Amino acid sequence: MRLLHVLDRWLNAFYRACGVLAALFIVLIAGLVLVNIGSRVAGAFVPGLTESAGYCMAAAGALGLTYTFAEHGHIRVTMLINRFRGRRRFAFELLTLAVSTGLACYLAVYVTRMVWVSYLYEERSDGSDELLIWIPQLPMAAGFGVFSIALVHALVKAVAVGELEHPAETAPDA
Amino acid sequence: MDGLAATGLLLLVLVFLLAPGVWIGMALLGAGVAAMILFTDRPIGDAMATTIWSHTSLWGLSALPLFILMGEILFRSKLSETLFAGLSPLMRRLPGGLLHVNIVGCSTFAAISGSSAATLMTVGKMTLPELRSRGYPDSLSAGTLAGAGTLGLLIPPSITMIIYGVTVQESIGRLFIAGILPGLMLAGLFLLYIFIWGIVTQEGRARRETPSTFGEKLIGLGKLTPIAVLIALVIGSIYLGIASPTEAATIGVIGALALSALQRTLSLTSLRAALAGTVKTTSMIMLLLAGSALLTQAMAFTGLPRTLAEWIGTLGLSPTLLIAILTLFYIGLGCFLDGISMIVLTMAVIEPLVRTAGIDMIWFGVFVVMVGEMALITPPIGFNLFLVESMTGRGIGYISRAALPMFLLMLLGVIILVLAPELATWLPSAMMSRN
Repeated sequence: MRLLHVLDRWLNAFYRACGVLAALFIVLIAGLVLVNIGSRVAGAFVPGLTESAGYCMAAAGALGLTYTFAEHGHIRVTMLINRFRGRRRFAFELLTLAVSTGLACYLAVYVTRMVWVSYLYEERSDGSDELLIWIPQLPMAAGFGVFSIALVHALVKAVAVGELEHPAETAPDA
Repeated sequence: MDGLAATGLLLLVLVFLLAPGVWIGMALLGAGVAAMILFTDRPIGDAMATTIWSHTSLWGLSALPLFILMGEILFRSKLSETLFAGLSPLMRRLPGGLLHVNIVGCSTFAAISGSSAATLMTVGKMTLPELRSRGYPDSLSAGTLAGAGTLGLLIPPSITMIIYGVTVQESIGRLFIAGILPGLMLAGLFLLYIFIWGIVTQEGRARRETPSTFGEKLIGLGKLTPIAVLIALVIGSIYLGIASPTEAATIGVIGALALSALQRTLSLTSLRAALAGTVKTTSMIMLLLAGSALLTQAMAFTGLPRTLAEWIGTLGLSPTLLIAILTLFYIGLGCFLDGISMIVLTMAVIEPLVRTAGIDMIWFGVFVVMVGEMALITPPIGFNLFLVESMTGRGIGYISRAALPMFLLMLLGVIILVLAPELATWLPSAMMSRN
């Protein structure tokens, strides 16, 4: 049991770290754009800057999924389940969590496979950078991977404990 | 399986996922997977992964977190005080008095922030207590705030416009510029409503504020200058074709940091909170976009939207009638969803339909964002209603009624947009575009 608690704590710290990483990717976008503006003003052309900003966007969006989940940031329609309290509410929450977990795991497997295939065939981007595409794909795959781990984690915990760890506030739809 | 039965089945899948509260993005993914299982023998998982990758790793989309960050930084500055102190001496003498500050404040903040929630809260936290203490009717303060708070969607920069732009692959810069005049028109309609209230009603005539001196006006203008400069930098650079939206957003972030530093609200804590908020919104949208990209792709494989578009084509509806039907459809949908969700949920089917009908996609973007604004103030689920509820402590029914005049004014705005499409198409056609 103690081991599980330690694992739980470690995982939560890990999720937070991914959120920080997502924030850093957003800062990196701003940095890349600044270099882009600067190079344009200077009349030089640095290849791959716009593509890289796009890659960072995908990485930031995917790596932040877990943090957003913990903060109840993913929007959903709450009209129906807000009518329920207690066990029935819990049953609904568990059901929707299970559906999301299934889909997230399915997605994570195939996003990882995409990176693997890109790596095997040494695919390159179509842009001016001709970068090996598995490199920018990797953080996105990691983001979806961690997201599916966090969902499995939340699902297992909810079943074991018999209640949700952070029940969403019942108010709005966001 | 014939098209109609298949469409029905997919809709059923979607409703069964959405209703119990599966995240909207996940529900879209689920429906996309279901569509591919039912209609194609393509490898589903692989198509899913590459579609999501190619629809999210976009240069245009990278403007999104930057505009969110800009709004988050300004939201944590003292901008609401500045706005109020600056606008009040300029507007309070008008019939309708300080209620105008609600509307102009929201329009101004909308021009530096992409989100309607941030717009509403920034303006409301200053104006609501002030309006109440001066005896303005609560229904008007709450109603105008809820209504004008939606302008963040239409007035650039706009997160909703970015999402529409990447979903239908139209220029985000042009969409931004297209939203300016319709946004100002809506703000004008709201102002006119308050103006007339201030002249016609007994209660309105009783609310005449003391005139401000020339000096006060000058000081007010001075306070507003940095904000005006920031707006001009961001929107002007897009309009003049100097910067793409992503570049303008970066300039905006730097401007927001400078403004925040000027007001001495810039700190490591506030910056960290702003970044955390940005990650939260960005990833929320990431999941929505991943879902909508897959569903759009899957629907294209099935050929259903094309069939539907052709079928609608055989009905011989005029574009105006089609838009009228879509308006009702979106108002209905808006009772349960917000604008962004409405767009990602429907575009897979609506886009081919609208393109087949020969409707300009930039114009349609303005239209759909406008009905998306209405969705924010329609009960039972209207995000702005919830925000105003939490800020005033009044019930949702009361606020919905208070916002009803604004809803009707927006409907009038949609009608004007249909009658005078140049409102949305003229500025973008006059601009220099850069992607």
